[in-house]
Amino acid sequence: MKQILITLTLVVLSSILIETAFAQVTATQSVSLTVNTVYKIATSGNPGALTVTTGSAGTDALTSVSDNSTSYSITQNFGNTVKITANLDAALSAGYTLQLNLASSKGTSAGSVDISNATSGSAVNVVTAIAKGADASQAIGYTFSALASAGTLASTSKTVTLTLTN
Amino acid sequence: MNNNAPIFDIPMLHTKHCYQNLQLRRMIFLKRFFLFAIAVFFFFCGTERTYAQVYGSASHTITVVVNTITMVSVSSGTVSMTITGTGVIAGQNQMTVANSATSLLWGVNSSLKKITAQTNLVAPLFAMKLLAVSPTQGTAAPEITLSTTATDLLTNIGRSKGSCTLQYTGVALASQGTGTDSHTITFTVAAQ
Amino acid sequence: MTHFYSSYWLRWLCSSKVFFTLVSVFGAIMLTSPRIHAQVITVTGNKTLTITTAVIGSEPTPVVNSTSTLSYKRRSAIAKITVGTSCPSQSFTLKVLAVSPTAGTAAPEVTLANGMLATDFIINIPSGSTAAWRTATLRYTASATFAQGNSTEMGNDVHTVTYTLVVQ
Repeated sequence: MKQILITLTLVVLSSILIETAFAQVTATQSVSLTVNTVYKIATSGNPGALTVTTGSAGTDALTSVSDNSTSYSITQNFGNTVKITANLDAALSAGYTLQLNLASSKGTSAGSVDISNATSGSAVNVVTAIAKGADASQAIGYTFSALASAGTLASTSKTVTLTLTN
Repeated sequence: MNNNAPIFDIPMLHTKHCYQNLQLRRMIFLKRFFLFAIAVFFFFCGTERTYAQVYGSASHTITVVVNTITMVSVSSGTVSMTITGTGVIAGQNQMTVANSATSLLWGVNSSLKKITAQTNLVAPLFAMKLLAVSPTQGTAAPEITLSTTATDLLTNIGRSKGSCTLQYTGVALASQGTGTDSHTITFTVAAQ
Repeated sequence: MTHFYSSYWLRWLCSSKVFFTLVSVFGAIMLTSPRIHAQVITVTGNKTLTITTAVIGSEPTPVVNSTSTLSYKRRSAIAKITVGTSCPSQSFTLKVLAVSPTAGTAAPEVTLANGMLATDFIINIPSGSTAAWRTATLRYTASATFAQGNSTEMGNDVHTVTYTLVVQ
């Protein structure tokens, strides 16, 4: 009986020792990964000069010109209600029209949108209901038109701002 | 020559054909005796010179026991990573963030060991990758994506003390939205 | 005139066999005399040093044992104590240092290695009264590296450490 007790004691002690020996076999580390809201939009560059040079006899509206040489890309993880708005740094004079058309594979394009009078306080939607994710190299189309009655327009530079927002 | 011939026996004493002169025989005997005595003297002198230097000695037994020691630790218990958009390229769905600020340290005095890593997060929103960079001992496994299954991070670390940099890479897709994953990463020294 | 060899005992004494026997017995006594003499050096019992832990980033923590005592007596000449060890298949490191010897000067800490030559341990033990015991604490330090393994795989290191009192 005594021997059995001693043996049992030794077994228990051995278990404790084994646990002690292996107590530091593992190490833990808390690692947190947070993904904040990300909105990213970029354009490939500037379009070429849009110059109205001709028209049709008997028609006030001169022949419009277009540029489809640029594109835009977006990445957003906010949600599926994100949109792109557009505005100019300053409205165009009456008789001149600048239209913008953004293609989209993640959202709904508004088609050609007149942004002639859209300024920072009155940006217009050009793409809506953009789903989370990325949309790369989507075409940007500019169309500039003028009325003959508006006269000539000295060369002027306009800044078009595309905003990715919710 | 008879090697067994006695030195001090004088057999001629009983032989009338041997020496007749008593004095001569005495001198021979004395000569042999003193030669031998001198030899004995030097023998013992030599013996003393050889052994008398040692007065005594004592011994005991010292046993050195080295238990199995297995240790693993991290230089910091917390790592925080945030994807903020900085560095994100418009048009790319994948967004990453990396952290190499912490190290893994270990000490193992048994052979054939490896270190595995696993997370407690059953369904993380985003992928968390881990790579052991520049281990001072052992072999780093290719970058692993952490899961609840222990995956080899380092192999061949038996009987060594070493460290490596822990390079975490959080990978999120924009299409996955926002959120936070809180991992508890467990590093385990296991038999290889 | 009495014959020089007429005495039987003289002849017997001078016979080579008897003489060699006497010389041999005397020599044997001389050779074994140190053992026959009272002990002049003793060391307390056997010890076990167990290395159990380590601090992360460092080698296993060495273990120190200072519970052994070496006792020795001064001799009629200046003496010293040397130390040596026998430890076949040694795997780990064991060092010993004489702490506070009451006679003589402690040598620097000695690393005990199997097959080592006897190494000075306490030197300059002055001659003097041979009656009183002098003592020194034996401080053993056992250490091991992770690379040296553990006793389960390598076996224990069992040192038979021998201290010898010799004339200096």
